[in-house]
Amino acid sequence: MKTFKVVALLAVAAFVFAGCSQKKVTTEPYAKAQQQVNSESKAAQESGKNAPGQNGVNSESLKQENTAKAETVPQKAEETVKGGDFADIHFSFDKYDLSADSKAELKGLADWLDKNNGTKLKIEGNCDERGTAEYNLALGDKRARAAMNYLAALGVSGMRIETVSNGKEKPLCEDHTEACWARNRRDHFDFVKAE
Amino acid sequence: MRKKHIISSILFFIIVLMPALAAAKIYIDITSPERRVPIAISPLAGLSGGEISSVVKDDLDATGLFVFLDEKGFTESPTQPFNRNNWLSTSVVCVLKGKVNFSPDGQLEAVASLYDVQTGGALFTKRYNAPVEMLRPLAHAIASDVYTELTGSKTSPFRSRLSFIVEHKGIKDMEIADWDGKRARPLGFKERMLMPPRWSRDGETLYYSASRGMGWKIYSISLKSMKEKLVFAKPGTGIMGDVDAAGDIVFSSSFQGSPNIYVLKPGGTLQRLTKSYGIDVSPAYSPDGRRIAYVSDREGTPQIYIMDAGGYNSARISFSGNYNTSPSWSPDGERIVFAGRYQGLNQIFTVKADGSDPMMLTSAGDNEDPCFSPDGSMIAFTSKRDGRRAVYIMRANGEGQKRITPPGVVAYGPKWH
Repeated sequence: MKTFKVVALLAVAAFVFAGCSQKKVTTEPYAKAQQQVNSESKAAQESGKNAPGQNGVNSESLKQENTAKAETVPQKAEETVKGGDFADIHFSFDKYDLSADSKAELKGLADWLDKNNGTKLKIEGNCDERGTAEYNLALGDKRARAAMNYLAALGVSGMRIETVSNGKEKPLCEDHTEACWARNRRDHFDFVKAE
Repeated sequence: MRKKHIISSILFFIIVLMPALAAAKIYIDITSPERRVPIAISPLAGLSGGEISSVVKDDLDATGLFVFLDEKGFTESPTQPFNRNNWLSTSVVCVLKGKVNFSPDGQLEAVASLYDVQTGGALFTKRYNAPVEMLRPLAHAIASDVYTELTGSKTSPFRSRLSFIVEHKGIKDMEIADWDGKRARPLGFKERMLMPPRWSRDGETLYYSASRGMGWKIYSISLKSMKEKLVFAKPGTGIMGDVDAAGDIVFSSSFQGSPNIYVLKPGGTLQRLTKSYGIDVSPAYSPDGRRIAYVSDREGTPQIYIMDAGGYNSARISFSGNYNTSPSWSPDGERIVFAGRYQGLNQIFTVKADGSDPMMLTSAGDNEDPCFSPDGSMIAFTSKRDGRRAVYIMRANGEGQKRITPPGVVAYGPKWH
């Protein structure tokens, strides 16, 4: 029962409030309107009505924003070591299958790893600038894994290989030509010390 | 008792809602803007008043829904009270007037009224308070009130924010800017390998992928505390996708061999949604959280698919071209915006969520990373049309394309909140 009374009271108040605000704000000179703005928003607050109304006067306070700088999670980066000298292998646009030349290069790499047990291989997959950034990150992952899977098939332990995608974030060359794009679509090989 | 309840409900409707309905005259139908509505934006009286009204005007102008009466045509000064007789000879339908003061403690205090020339009445009068350095947000708040008043829309794009990556000499940081690209705040990252962040639904957290020498992992940063958390750290490439209202994080990871879509629940449960030998990436929740749009190359080339949030009932929705990526939903869930390759360059397209009615929105230069504004009226994207990558916005129909990041700055990957 009580709530209905409150609702009815609020309804009447809102009606009266909406009606008079329209009349006053439109007909009074600016200085007087300003006065009413103050008094009306006070009335609005008292009646607990704060949502923007059709003709009611509301007020809004904008607050200062946070200007602190990011505190990132600390992480140690890996150290690359000098290893065998192997050329990048290359891919066709939007493809992650290995060419015959790439397979030959990977065979040499597998043989070298067989003789150098203390070293781990890091394969970085890269893409050219033409694809979109996020898809290229996944594509670079597939390119690095294509080489890893081939090495694993040649008998290299998966434990000795890590892959990382650079997407199109780490181009060798920044010209907008097919020759440049072809250079960027690559797996790059680095060596890291095995723990 | 029940009868009384019904009666009071009816009374409530008659007394309160009827006048509101009658007053809710819509001046512009934003769904078919066949003609622009002529309005006058009078400089607010007081110091910085002109600056505020010029921001208001720029905001409204970007919607393409208004034409503005030149100030030279005003016969009423900013300090004079509004009188419809001073405007009847002009074409304008509405006039925005007001004043701004600096309070002794350095606060801006503005009052703005939007007047209807035909009736002479105020459509609204509102007070705005803000610290001095929040002058532009104050102006955006005024523009937003004008926009919602005249279009009947619940929200405007003017009070939204955009996050994007800014790159300088290979070092990447995130920035958060107003919707017009101004007041860009750098968050202070110094990364070589960082992907564009995604907003949590409440706008308090950003989620992103970064590689700091040990592979791509997913992180979040609270915009309140500015503290970073590691969200997903399994080996392989973790590529952030989206987060829904319940806090479910959907993303792509190759930790089980190939990039597939996973969901990480707030409790820590990991659920695999796709089982592909190829690439599944870029998942985006529909606004209601029930569906996920994503990219897959399962049919040979990257295409857009939609599945339900549990990973079932995948259906392809992009059918033209052989390289379609980066899907993002309109806030009403009706359309998907994505980057599609057309004649050797990426362009921005939208398509209905059932795959019908595709529309190409850009044609200049290379364009990617599209997303809708929270109110659905605009689309932000990355474009290289002026040489280097920059953030652009346009209306959802492709009109009014303009760069919002400063010339000479490399910026990309906008996400709107």
